[in-house]
Amino acid sequence: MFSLLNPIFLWAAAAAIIPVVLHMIQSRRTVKMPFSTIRFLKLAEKQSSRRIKMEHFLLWLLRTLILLLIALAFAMPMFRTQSFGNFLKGAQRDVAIVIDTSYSMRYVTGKRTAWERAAECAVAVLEGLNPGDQVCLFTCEEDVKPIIKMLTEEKEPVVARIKALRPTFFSSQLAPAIMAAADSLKEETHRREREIHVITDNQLLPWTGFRKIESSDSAVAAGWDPKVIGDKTVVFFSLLGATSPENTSPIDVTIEPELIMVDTPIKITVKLAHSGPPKNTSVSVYVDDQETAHRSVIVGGDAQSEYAFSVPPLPPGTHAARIELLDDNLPDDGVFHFLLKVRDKLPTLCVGNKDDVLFLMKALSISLSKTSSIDVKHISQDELSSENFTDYSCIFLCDALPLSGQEMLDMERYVRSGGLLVIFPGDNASVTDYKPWTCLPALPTGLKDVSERNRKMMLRWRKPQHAILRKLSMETGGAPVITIRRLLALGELEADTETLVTAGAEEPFILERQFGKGRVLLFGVSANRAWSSLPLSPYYLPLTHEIAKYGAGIGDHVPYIWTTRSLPLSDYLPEAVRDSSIQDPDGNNVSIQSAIMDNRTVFHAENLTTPGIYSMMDSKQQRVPALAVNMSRIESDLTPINVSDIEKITGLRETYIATSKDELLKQIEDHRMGKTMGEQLLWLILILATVEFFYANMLSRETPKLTDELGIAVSGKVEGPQNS
Amino acid sequence: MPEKQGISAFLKAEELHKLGRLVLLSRYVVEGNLAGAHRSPNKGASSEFADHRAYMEGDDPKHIDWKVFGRTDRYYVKRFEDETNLRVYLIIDNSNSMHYGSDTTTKFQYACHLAAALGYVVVKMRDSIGLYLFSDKIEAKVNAANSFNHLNNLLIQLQEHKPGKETKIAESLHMIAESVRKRALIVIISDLFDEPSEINLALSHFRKMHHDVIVCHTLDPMEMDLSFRRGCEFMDMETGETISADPRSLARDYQKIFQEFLEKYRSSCRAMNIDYRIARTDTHLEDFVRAYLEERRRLSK
Repeated sequence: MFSLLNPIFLWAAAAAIIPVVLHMIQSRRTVKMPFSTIRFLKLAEKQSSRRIKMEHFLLWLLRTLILLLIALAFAMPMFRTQSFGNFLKGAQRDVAIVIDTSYSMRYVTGKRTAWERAAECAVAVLEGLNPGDQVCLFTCEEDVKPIIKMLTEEKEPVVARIKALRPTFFSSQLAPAIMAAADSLKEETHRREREIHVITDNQLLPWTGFRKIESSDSAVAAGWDPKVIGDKTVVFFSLLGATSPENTSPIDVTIEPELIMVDTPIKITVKLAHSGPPKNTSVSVYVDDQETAHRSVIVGGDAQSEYAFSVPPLPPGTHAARIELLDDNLPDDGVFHFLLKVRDKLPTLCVGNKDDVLFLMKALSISLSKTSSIDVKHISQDELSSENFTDYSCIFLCDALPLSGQEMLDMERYVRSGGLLVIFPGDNASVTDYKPWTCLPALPTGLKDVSERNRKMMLRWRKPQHAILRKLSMETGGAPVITIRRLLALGELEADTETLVTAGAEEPFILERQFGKGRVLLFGVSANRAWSSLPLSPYYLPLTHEIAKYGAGIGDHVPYIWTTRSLPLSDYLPEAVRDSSIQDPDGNNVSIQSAIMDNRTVFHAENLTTPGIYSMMDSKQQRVPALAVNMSRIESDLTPINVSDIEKITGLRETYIATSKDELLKQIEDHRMGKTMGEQLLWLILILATVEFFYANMLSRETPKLTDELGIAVSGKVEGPQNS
Repeated sequence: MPEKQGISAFLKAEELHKLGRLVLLSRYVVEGNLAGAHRSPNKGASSEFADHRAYMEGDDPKHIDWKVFGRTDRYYVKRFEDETNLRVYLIIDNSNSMHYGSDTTTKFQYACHLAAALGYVVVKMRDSIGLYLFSDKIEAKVNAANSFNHLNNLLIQLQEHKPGKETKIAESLHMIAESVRKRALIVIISDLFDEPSEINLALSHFRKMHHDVIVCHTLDPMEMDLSFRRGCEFMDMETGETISADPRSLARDYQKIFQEFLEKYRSSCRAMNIDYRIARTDTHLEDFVRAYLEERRRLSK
């Protein structure tokens, strides 16, 4: 427990006899002094001998202590926990290593990344362990990842695992990993020294999870609690990143318009985030690996800024695109991948009898422009089961109810994955035919015949800024008036339902409901002239065209996603369910797992952890871009943590904070081998010397003269106070 | 150059000149054998009326009080206060302790100087001066006389005397008190390092004999303050006993004890109407004598 670094200096402790020797020399050298009488001296000594002895003893003690402590300070005493552990017959130490594998660890300082330093540091910690010491290894990314959960005495496999590790493209939280590491250490029941080594960069983000949750609710009680670590466990934090990092990264891309047709120019708006002082950089837009736009920009200090780029019309198909910045110290987040889906036709399906779809087919068959058109297909209700709904961006059901159960489920799945279903009622469907549907904006309660007198109704745009109605601007006083003979009576509106158009003041005419990623439009009248004069209205054609475009623009196309461990394909890539040959940017096949959820099979793509463009085979057996995956931009915020705040944030008592491997090893040595007590001893010596100085000074202070006290006049008369 | 002797050994000419203007008065009636400036218990020829007495043969008829004769038809003579000279006895302690001096002047030397100064003042006033020198016994006695030659001889004797032995102050003072028969002014110059109660008894003996007593308690400042800077082995100058002590540690208690010792003399002298003065050897002698005699003169009026 206690040892000396320079025991040779203990010889200097012999100096402690100096006060005694000095006292003896002084008493030998006493001068004989003739004095008129010593009777008063005798009396005085008798009275004060005990006090004088005590004063002398205290002075001797202080001086001897000072000399002993000086000798001890030079001998550099140390407390060694290792020896203490051996003394207690305990085993040695258990060490948990927690390494931050977030992508900010890729930040380059000098010529090395923070990750390379972290791995080197972790190996150095392992090499410093003694035989019999045990170790476990955890990494923290978006979740805690136990690399070696059970404590082991074998160091080589742990070193090999550390060397094989690479930083991920996720952000990280340290708190759960430290708690998991503490739990692993507690598995060892014997009394051993415990250490947790947390190796991370200087980023503030991983520390945001250290918030103690006071709630008694068990659901949220899993928050950070420093008590879990325990008083006996020492935590070493190694912050190996840059203290003043600079980083610029694109954090978001907005593509306009949502529906890109072959003749449509594309506007791409990039949002850049920057930390550090202002700097020049360049932003390039690549489409199909061809640079299509480029500009130099000055990014400000710790601010976000937006820059717009124009991309010329593209040929139909899905195009891989990316934003690229000049390389900086964290190059991985300087690229932002996204997909541009360009259409030449809008595949639309009309279901119903010929009479019912007549006007609709006529309206949709008219071309939108020279290069693009609506590709409309008509089928009867009986042919519905043979259709693949995902081929269509919009499906019109014109008095096509009731559907079979499977057809109805397929139709709802189509809507949920991003399709647009437009339902026109008709005389064939009864109220009970609507009841099995779960995606309707409102359940019909019956049919309402409009009296002769009220049949002329004005259509009112309740949501004029809605994508369907936005371009259907009406001149002043030009509100469409149609004749309505019969209307669908509706019950209470479902949640997420909006009334887009009303007939007259309050009769719902077009209702919209969001269902999954798609939408359902429910009209109040039939698609033909049986119920109203809508098909003859001048608004009918543009309204149906806007609906078809709207259907193509929603839900079914996601320009980019973030890196994830599991992606439900039915929501993001429904066509990939059958064709499982998705490949990651490195050309490796992505694993697709199936699971049964709510009585249906759900497919998930696993481990989409590499940023880039993921491809899949299309119907022509050609590889086409399927997904653009980007790393989460939360991690791009490299705001550094204030080192002095760490103890306050974590609430841990015994922590060591190092900013380099050498400093960490020194701290480990200090902790394991002990700390020299030289500084404390010097402080003690200083205090004792001060006490000695004042005490000795007080004792040697001259007593006021009796002559002055008595006030003896020149004439010899005593004028002072009488002694009682 | 021969060593100075007598009064010139103790006082310089300018000091003598200054001292010549001072007087040492007795506060009480004294008995002398010459006419002088001091009140005598005998009736004499001064202008101060005392009382009447019946005329007897041999009386000078000029002293008959004719006014009384007119009233009473008897002869009465007027009697007047007599004025006589003062007998001053210097009683000097010659014990070993008196030969201590922390500076160049020992207490005995200071006492001799004081004796010379007072003697000069006394003789200058045509009063008589006598001397007793004692240690454990009366070592020397000089009867009172009022000439400068007498004073000179007295001081030569004092100068030539060797230090005595132990102190037996009380015993010596009793003996001196018995030997001084007529009322006189007694000046005791001593460090009084003996038992205070016994010394006080001896002092009361003087008072019983109707002497006017002045006690000049001669002390060295070091004896009062014990302000030595280093520890040393103190040796008693009378007994030869030694004691090792650290004066700085002891000073506080020492002073307290010494103050009690002084207070015993001071209080009993006040009670016996004895003039008690502390003569410190670091006080300039001329200043001390001048201040003291001036103060005494004021009080005697």
